[in-house]
Amino acid sequence: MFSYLLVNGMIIGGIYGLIALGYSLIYRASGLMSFVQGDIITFGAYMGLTFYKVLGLSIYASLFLTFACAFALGIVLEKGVIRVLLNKNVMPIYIVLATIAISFIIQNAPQAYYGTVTQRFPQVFSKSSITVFGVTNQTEAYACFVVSVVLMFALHIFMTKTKFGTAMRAAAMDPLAAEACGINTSLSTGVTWGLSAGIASVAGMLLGPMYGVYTMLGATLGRKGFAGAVIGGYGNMYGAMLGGMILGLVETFTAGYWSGTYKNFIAYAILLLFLFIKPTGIFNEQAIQDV
Amino acid sequence: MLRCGCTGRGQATQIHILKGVRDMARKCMTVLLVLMLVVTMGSVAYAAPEFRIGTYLQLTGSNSVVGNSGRQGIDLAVKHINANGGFNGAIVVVTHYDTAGSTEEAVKVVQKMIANEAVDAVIGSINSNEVSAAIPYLNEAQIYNFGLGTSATWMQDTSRIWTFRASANNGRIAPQDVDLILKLGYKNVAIINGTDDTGKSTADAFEAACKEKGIAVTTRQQCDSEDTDFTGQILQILSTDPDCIFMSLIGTTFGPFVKQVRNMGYKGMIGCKECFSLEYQNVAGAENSNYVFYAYPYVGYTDIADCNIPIMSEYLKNFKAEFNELPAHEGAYRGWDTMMSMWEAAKIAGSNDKTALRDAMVKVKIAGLGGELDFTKGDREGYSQFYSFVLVDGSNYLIDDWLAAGGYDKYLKATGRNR
Repeated sequence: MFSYLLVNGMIIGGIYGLIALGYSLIYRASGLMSFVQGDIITFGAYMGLTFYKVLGLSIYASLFLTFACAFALGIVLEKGVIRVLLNKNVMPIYIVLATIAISFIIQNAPQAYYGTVTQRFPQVFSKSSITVFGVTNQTEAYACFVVSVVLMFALHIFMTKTKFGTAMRAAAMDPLAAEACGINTSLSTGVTWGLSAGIASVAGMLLGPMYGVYTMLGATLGRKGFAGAVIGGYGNMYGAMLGGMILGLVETFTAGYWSGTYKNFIAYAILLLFLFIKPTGIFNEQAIQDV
Repeated sequence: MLRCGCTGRGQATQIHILKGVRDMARKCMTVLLVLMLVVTMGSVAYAAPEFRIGTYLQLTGSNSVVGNSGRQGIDLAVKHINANGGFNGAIVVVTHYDTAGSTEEAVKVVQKMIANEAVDAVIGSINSNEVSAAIPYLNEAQIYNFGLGTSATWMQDTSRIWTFRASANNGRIAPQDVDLILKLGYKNVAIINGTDDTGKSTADAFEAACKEKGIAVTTRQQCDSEDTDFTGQILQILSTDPDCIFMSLIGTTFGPFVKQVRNMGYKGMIGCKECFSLEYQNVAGAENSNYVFYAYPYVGYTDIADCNIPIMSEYLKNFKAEFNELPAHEGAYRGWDTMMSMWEAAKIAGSNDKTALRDAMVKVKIAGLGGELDFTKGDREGYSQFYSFVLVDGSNYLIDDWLAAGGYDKYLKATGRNR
């Protein structure tokens, strides 16, 4: 039982971590809080469904196109909504409200084509389930975990080892100084939003075969991802993954050893506990005070 | 203004003629107005009376497929009723209101219907939470109303004499589910239920029936209606090694639960509080949806040819002709059955007076899509007996037929289980 709970807790935790990564990335690069991440998961799931099932493209092509579409959506959101509001010098809370509005639009928009029936996402792998360390799970669940870890490392390398990543971090730390150094802060912020959306969309596409595709798919997961980001240290990429993982493990073990009724209670109680005792999260990220 | 070189007498004649024309025009206008008035009054006097029904259904948002199916069933029934004389000669007019899945919105909509719309009757949501919240207002206002939800809770208050139901009551289905378990020779069962009203109340009724009929409940697990991962609950269930599992879940949780429990190695029979719809099967996967059993009035169909129940087959043909598709959810059956029950009450009452309609309900006994709709027991509920099905390879078999055909032995062989 323990190994099952551990592996499955890590899988769901990996998904939360992936979502938390998007939240942290946006905060780290633009100093803004977005609540649209969860619904971009939904967007990604529907885009993946369209490319993979409706258009019959290969899984790799579908994954790439889903990422590309979400990346474009992220840039459009930043340039078309967030930047416009920032140029009006609005208070940060209005940015948060704008992202909430966008999240509802994304939740509702797919209904125009797909309706509200849960859509079946065809199985991606020929083998429906595999056994790892004696734990049998859906193949896509393991794939989701692997992709989460790979994306985290890829993002780490991108942010720390590439010029553009360094420029993005510089633009986030001090936009004025960064611009004086010749960094295009507008571009870097746009790319950050694009990347965050792209990551969330990949998560959405991988979740499709596991849970089906429906309009509220990302809503709950998005909330959990946000909680994971705060626990890890809002704005810290490693903290996001760790926070997500902790949350996944806590709720899975709670359901396994105590009761599924209280798993959300415990998960969000931990979030509150962190906010009271250590608001900077496990990685001591000085973020909460700025919000 | 008349400068045409005429004499003074000629001018006077022309003015006289003009006056005559004006008078004539005035008279014509007056006659025309009177005629229009008469025609309008006549049309008002001879307009067929209306019987106004308001509905509150979830028509948008996630899970709105159930509300829209209910609306289709109601609309199809209204068309049929109006083509056959309406309610005692009155044309049935239905106005649909959207609750968007919100209990608060359901209450607002119902209050609006009571205060401003002067409705003669109200048909309520398929979401039992909404019905529970709305019917106190309808009963207080003494509005003849029906609910489409299946939760046992909102019909328990016997003082709500204006509320009826022509769809299934999960509290009544639950004992029949236990009978199915007994029929399969099982001694125990594990339960998983949602924390929503329907999920919890059905599981309560099921557990009570298990106790009464000597079936042991090995464990009872709960989950939130928005949960996606059930690992903890499934492990607790599997650790008790139950003969079978009973699900009292809701909407989007059915498919993922069945998929996960199968992936985690459970191959046995799974009981379901309602028909395991095509939507659930799609998410769970066809191979995982085998051997799900349930008691329910009806099942979903992908092909009319699969249906061998004459009344249902006829309904499906009409539905297809009207909407060019088959019902996406059994809410369409509930909507039809509800309207047919109301129509029968109107025929019995011989009047569309709300008290007469309410009092006539106790005499309603008609063939519904899921069997006999019998309100004569006086408990304001239509269905009491339900069919029992088992889902194998995408087809719903009556469980007695399946057992008689050796289906259970095939199940044991296919799954390698001994029970």
